[in-house]
Amino acid sequence: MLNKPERSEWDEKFSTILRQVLPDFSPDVLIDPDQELRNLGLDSMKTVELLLGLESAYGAILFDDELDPRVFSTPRSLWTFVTERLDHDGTG
Amino acid sequence: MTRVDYESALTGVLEVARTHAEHVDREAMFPVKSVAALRTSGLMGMFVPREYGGLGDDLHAYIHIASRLAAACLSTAAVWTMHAFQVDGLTRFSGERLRERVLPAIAKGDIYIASVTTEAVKGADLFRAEAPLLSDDDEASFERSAPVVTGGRHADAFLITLRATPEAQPHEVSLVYAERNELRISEQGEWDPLGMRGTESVGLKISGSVPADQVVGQPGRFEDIARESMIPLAHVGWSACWLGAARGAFSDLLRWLRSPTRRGGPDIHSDLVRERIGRIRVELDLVSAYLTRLCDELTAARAEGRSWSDIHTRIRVNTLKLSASELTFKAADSMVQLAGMGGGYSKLAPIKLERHFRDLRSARLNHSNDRMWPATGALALLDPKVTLL
Repeated sequence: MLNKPERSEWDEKFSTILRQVLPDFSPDVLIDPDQELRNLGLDSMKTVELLLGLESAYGAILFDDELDPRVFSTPRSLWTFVTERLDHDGTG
Repeated sequence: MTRVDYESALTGVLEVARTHAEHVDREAMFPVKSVAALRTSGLMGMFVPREYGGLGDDLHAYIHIASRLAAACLSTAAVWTMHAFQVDGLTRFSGERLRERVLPAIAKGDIYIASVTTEAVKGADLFRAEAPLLSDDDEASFERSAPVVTGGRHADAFLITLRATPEAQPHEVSLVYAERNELRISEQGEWDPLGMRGTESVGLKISGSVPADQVVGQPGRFEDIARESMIPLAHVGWSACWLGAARGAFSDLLRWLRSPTRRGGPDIHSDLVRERIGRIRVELDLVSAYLTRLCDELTAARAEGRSWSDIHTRIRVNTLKLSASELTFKAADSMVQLAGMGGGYSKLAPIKLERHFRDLRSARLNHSNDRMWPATGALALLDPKVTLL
């Protein structure tokens, strides 16, 4: 595991959850923000684990409505979704 | 083919299927004669577009045919259903050249397609494959074993899942269409199960080379075909089969119970017997209503170009499979209980409940409910509004 924050684009909680749920991310390589998550094995069950992991990490319910599957396209799109939801909830 | 046409086509097939069901079950052999009748009936053209001579993609026709076939012979119905949803995947995702070549032949009944998705290493997980596809510009070759291939000895062609390339991850799966004459096939293992014996789901070792345009859909993206076609149609089709078998058995049971010449057996004037009859009826009607309603939904979604892979649809497709597999077997179990030792438990009984009972026991194992229940629970967590059908 890397010792320093990976990117300024997101915080460490986010990358920790990503790596926990998708072990296909190489531990020695920075997460590419535009990598297709489904190519790393993100299936429906892992999508659930990812969401629940993020909700637990940030202490907030991130969605309560229709979830656009495009949210889960890449680390960048997922991070955008997380930050928007946290801003919206005032918990970020 | 109009509804009237396929009804009359069905009538001949049902007679053959009914005649041979017991033999096929006893010998654990493929229903060759029933499938031959299906081939000449035009019904193998389910999901082939009408412009290619097929029946088109009317889901209500699909469940009607599956259900009627299953009342006669559940193995025949399962073979037809599995062929049909393979054809839908092929119709929607194959390239123009392959479509032009194979769809008319499928509609004529010349090509029966079997599915090769199981693999010894990864089991029944549809979205993983170990054996890789080796491709160049012109050709795609492979070597693969599959422990369970329904109709594997009799199919004219196969849709085979393979790892997209030798370097690809196991979840990057491609789908390949291959005809028997393009393959070297050897059998492995034996076939002697409790029920669904006529599906003759043998193990196969398959290798061969096919033209590159026989890769169906985008390389590595079998999941798209599975989610938008094969999985929903498999669960809808199988559920229709199970319901049809249970309904046929219930119909036989009711006729036997009401027969004035019946000797012994339950008293239909008893409240207990009537309650049991009522419960079976309710279970079958619930499955029927959910099946029909889901077909309405899927039909509307396709007509409007909406995906079948959104969370709500996936929960509903799973709900159908889980409830149909459990309730139809429960109904079969209740029927055996109601008819008793002499009436329903024996192969020699006046009504043939025991074969249906054994066949329907497979429903929970087929695409195992042990995996589907937690998957459905996980999907339900993503729908906190609880959007019911």
